[in-house]
Amino acid sequence: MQLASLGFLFVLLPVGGLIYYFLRGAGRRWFLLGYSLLFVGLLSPLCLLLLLAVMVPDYLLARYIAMAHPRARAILLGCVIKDITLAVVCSVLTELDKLILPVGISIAAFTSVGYLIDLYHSECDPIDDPIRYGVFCSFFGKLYIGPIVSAQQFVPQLDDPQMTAEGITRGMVQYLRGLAKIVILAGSLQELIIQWETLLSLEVTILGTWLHVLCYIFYIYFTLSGYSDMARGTGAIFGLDLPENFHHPLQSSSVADFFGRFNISANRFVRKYVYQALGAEDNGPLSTSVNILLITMLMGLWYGINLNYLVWGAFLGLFIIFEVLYIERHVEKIPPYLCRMYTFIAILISFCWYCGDSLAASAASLRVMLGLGGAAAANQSCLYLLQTHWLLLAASVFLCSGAVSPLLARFTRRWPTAAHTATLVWNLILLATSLAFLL
Amino acid sequence: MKRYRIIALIYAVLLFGGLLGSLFLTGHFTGDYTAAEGTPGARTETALRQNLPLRDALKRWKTTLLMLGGVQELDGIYFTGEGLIENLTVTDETLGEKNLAALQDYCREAEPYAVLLPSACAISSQLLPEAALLFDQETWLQNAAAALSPLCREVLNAYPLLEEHGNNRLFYRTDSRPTQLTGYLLYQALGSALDYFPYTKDSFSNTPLRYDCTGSLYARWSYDKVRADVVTALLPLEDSRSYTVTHTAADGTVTRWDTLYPLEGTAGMDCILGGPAATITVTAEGSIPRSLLVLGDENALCVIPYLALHYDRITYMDVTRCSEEQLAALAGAEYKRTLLLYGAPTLLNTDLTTELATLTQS
Repeated sequence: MQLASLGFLFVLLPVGGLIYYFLRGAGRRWFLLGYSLLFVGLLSPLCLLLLLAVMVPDYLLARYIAMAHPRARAILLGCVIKDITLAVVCSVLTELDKLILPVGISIAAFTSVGYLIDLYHSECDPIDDPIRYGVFCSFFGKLYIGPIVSAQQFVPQLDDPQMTAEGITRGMVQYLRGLAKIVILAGSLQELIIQWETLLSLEVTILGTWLHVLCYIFYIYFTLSGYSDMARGTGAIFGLDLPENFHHPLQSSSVADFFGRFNISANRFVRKYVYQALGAEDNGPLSTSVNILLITMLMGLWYGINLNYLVWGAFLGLFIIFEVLYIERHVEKIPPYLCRMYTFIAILISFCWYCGDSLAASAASLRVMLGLGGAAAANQSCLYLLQTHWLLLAASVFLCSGAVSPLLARFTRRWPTAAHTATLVWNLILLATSLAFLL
Repeated sequence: MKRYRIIALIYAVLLFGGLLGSLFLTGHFTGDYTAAEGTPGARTETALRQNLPLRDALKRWKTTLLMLGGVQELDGIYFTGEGLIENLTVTDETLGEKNLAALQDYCREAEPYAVLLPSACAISSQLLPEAALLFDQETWLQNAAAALSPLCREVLNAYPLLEEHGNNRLFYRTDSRPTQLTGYLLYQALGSALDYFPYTKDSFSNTPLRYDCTGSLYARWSYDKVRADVVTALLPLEDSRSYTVTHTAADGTVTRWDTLYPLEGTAGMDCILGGPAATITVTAEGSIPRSLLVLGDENALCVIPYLALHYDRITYMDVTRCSEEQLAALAGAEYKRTLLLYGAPTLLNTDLTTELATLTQS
């Protein structure tokens, strides 16, 4: 049962919420663990087994790391290798179509790895209670795309999680926003992408290729940020505060800024445990460049073990190196709209690598986008698709722009009651529309 | 705080309302859950999808929203201003070739007559957007007819015939099936091949059978602006024959009517011969004593009522719906003539090879 499904919305969420409401303290923690394991088990029993393979050994071995056992370093290394291998093998098997990606394994594995490293460096307290540890690694809401939370951030919230009317309201708003992003926008964009691909397989056009990549960016953004919103929403309903994972990345003023706003928790994880460990920007331009390339390539591989993702990361890494070494000191002189335009175009072009089936196909698309392939500018089919999906594209641009939040904040400040009523009505419309798309 | 309580309560009422409504309003939840396949999660999802309160209104809302956004095609179905036309998309062209090869094998043994029918999107392509990506049915049917011609007594490629009458309503607005008018055109065209003199149109009266019908396309794309169909039939002005229509399902269930157009026990366009079935046997007491075997898809239903004016026993078989026993039991030699009548969508997208091989062997 997926997070974006009728079963979750009408069975797991209300029934689980009702039971949770009547529980207190340890009962709630037990419930959250059982509920999360049930959720994963309903998705696939294999997911559940893999999840337990991540959590159980790590929990048992964490105490040796915490007590600074003479072999703590080796134990840590063993756990890290085990978790990363598990995540990588699952990803590779998925890429090879041998396995349906087991939901949550990567997130649980990296959450656990982060905890063990922090524990080794005495940056967090050990989690003695296996239930707290289980919820920390496997809380069902965050299993899809995160956010990856740290033990310091998450575990104290499990002392006495409060289910409040405000939390439920805030959570439902966030959940519905995420649901709408996934089923209305990402679902429709996915269908449109298939149509673009059919069209481009018949005749390649410059406009078609640009729009195909643009739709792909919107699709990826709405899918990932949608799951992230649902994670935060379900967290808020059950009294847990999860951090923001996507902050209008397509509004970024530089490619480095984009990396900071796109999958924030994964980016922080890679920065903290890889980039900082490599010396960040402290060892001169060459070392900085290599480190940046390394982390951007790792960030590419975060989305799947695939050569195209690796090149996507490296491609963006080159822009970041250029920004860090040459532009950063002059950035104040450049008008903000130019910065945003440059960033958006760089991201758009970079997604050529992300959405291609192979490096050769991506390179061919890039040539067409730059007008070098001798392709026609547009054709009638291209204009037809544009004409029949204008609302979807317009809504995607508007919702990516980040213009909604400031407008809503201003409206709420001036007319609070009207704003709350309008928000409720809007969310009910979102619910009805999402249900219509789920049917 | 009070405001949050009210809003939280509204959400709780909606979620529990949705759950309880799905469980108890239609009364089919348990049955749908049991009938669904997959994990318990997948079965719950299917049952909820089929029983959610306001399901139809929500689906209409989605359609309205998509139409507002400029969408003209949904799930391969085009909205043409008043009706729906399903696009024929071919994902695997080799399937069509395999089916043709299987038909050729069958034709070598049975020497049948054959009719190849295009779908609505080929005949009414002028109603679709200019940029719509359409499969070239005209060429494919030409090639298919050429491939079958040497092995059949006669092959009728219905594309030119239907294109010539393209201004008439040859297909329903809300269903992929051809109308009775298409059936009549085929009946006229098949006269010399099947050895009968077709009655002229003056001998029939165009009689409405059922008003406000919506078919399978409408079920997939329910949009307020789609006009419902009126199912009509050309009924002979004078007809003293008595008809019996017998449906036999793959599991052996038998349903019988004593009319070619049963209104009781049928819905929508199924009032023509009771709708599709694994086998349909039509006996026409008073017709010339000769028999005809029709192997085909649901397109064949439109022409059989007219053929019953000239054959006292017609057996229709949809091989995709038949059980292995039904296929094996068919003794082709019992019938004076055999007619193959398939639409391009079936030949291109449905695997008929196993069933046709069984028939060829029997």
